[in-house]
Amino acid sequence: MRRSLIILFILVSLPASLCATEDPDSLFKAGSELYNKGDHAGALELWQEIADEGLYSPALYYNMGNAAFKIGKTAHSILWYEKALLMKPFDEDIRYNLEIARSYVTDRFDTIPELFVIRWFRMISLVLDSNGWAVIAVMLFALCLVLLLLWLFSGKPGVKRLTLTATVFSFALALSALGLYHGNRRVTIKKRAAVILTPAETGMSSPGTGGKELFVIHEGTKVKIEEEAGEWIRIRLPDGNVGWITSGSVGKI
Amino acid sequence: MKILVSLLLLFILPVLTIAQDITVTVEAPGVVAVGEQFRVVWTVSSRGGSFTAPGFDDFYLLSGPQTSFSSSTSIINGKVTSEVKNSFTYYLQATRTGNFTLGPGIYTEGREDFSSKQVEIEVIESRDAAAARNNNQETAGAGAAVSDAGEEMFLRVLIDRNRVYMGEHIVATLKLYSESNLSGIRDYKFPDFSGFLKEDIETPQVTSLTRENVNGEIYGTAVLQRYLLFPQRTGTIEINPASLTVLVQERVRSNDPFFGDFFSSFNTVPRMISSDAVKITVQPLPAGAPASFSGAVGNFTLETFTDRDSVKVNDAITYTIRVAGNGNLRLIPAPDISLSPDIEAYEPKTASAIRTTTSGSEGSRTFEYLLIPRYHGNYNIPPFEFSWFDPDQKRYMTARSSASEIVVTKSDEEQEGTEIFGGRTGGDVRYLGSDIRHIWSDPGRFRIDGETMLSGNRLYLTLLVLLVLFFLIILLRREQIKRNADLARVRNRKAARIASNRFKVARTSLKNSDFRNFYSDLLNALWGYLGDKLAIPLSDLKKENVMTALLEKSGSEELTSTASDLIDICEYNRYAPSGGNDDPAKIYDMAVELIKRIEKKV
Repeated sequence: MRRSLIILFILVSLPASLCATEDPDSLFKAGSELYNKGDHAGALELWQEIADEGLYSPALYYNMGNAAFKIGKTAHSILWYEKALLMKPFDEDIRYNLEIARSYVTDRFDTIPELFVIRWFRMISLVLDSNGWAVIAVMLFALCLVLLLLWLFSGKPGVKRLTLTATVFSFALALSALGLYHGNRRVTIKKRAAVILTPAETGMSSPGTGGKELFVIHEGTKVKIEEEAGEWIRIRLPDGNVGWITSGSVGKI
Repeated sequence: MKILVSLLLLFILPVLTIAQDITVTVEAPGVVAVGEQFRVVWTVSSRGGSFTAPGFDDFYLLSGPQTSFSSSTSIINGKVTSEVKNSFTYYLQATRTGNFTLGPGIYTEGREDFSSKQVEIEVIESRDAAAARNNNQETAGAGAAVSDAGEEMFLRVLIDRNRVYMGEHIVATLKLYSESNLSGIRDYKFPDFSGFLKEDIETPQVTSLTRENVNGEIYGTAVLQRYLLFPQRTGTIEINPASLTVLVQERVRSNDPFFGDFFSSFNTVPRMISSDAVKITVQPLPAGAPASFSGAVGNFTLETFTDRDSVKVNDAITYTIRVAGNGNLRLIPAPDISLSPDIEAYEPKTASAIRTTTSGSEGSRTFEYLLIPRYHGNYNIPPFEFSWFDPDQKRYMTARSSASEIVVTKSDEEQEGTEIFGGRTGGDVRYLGSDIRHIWSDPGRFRIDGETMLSGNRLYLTLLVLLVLFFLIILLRREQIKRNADLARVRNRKAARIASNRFKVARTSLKNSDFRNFYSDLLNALWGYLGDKLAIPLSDLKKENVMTALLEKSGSEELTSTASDLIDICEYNRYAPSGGNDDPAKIYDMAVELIKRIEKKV
């Protein structure tokens, strides 16, 4: 039992040390130097190269947001900040800058407040990435099984009672870790939110240009993606309205 | 009598006052035709001296001088203003064509000479003569061909140049030319000058026409209005035509063959005339404008100053920027000055002292900043830069003011105020602006897209593997327990037999009265039996363990205590001298009895 746990441990922790080449680090540094000199566009270009390689980190997204903001691409900066915030949901700098960037957005909505439980759940689910939650879920499940074994085979009544409680407890924890894992994937992998990048976009009542025009939203507005149908996506505005826009006009967070 | 004196004084006074400031002006037509009679008048603002006219060598003096005198005195709010006009009029006739100069007329009073300006007079060929020369043959109906008044009459918009830089001034003059007499002008329609910033140049009211030679013809001209124009966009800008209606005096000829000319009368006829459109090319300013350029075109000087160098906290100080010169002064915006945030600066007070003349807008524009230092210390008002485009030199010029230093001392009030309350009243930190926070220098650990090891199915597969592992372990453990249970059963079955063998050994010792060995053997047999029977390994064979197991398996406390007592007795007698007091045979029986009971119960 113990050996199998160790093997599992190695299996899980291995990928963390496999990635990360040296190149992106120097690119990142070069970009920072350009930014400090005031060449924000140049910095953004270098950082974009890193992102194009499929690499990402909260710092990269945060810096790209800053550079985009400085050259006036407010909508893009919001997109980058949101991406960074997914990885570091409690970071003060990201929140502060996002707040400033948002103040440049034209559209103001009476947002429907989310249920605090849902908000908390999402916040907690973003504390770790989905991988982290998966590892924790697996470990808790393993612990639960070990405790169950102890309960089954222990002769002493005191031990039996203790292990039973612990089993139930760890099982509940494993289930919640699994839930958080799904919560995390819901926002990070499935990309259910997006930022409007084109200056103005018209929301239609149906996919395609045949529908009726419902509303006009402007760049920087954050919307929820509810459905995708080819070129068109169904979005939900912060005030709860729903419409179809072309998928090319948004950047998925 | 008194009245007489004062009256006398009234008349003498103006003469006395004027005497100190004598002007001599001359009035003469600019252009005359050969044979024409004209008038030259010198006017002196004094009387009592003598006037000497210049020589009239180039002209024929018809008559003169005729002198006339007039004076007027006005007293307004006790201020005496008087005007004396002493004029000398000469009638001349031009004899030949050319440009002639009449020298200055000299007025001598006391020992001082006052002279007028020289006068230039242009004499041109008379139209009649020219016409006669040109059309010698057609002179027959000379009488009928007389005045076709109003034919030669036009309006012009004159501009001093038609190629300018953006923002450079142009002088536009609206001028009326007429050969005949006019009795009035009405219905002015001035161009709208779209594309220009227009400023009116003060133009005197038209009272009479000035004679002027235009291509050999004498015209009466009148400047109706002068404008200063500043182009507001580049490219070709057209000035719309101006138009107006003039009232022409036309001679109505009588049909009377004898007295026709003599009794002819004048009739006033309105005529509308308009000017041509004028095109002006506006060039854009050349590239390479300095950063401090804000659209000023012309020629300027810059001056900055403060009203004082040292001031107390919360006292005001005035900082003045003054731009003076010639150009589009009105368009110069209030400059931004960068000051320490501890100095409160108010919106500048802008004042313009601008004269609009034919040579452009001249004057100065002043920006006064009221500064109030809110904290003591030495402050610098940074040098201020002002740039403009000089159209004459065709390049940008920049002037830089010197930096001004202000020393701000603590105000007395502040010190007193703080001491009363026994501590400094600290203020909140003042925030000057907001910006996004700076970038992070640490890139952190880069992750790769789709890196997650335990995503989706793989996570559940892992959980399943764990579950399978779990059941496998349970299965193995069950198997092991079962095998162990079998082992125990064997030991259990054999326990009685092994015990009886050991009891035999004990009996032999009992027969030989070897009590010490007897107890040892007996204990050996008991321990061995209990270990086998209760499936307790040899290593765990302690009294407590055995007794607990026995109690658990038999469920009888009486039996357990009997076993416990028996073992205690055996242990005691084993080490007691001379084998103890108990009867060994009885103990042997008790042990046999105990085993029998255990066999039954367990």
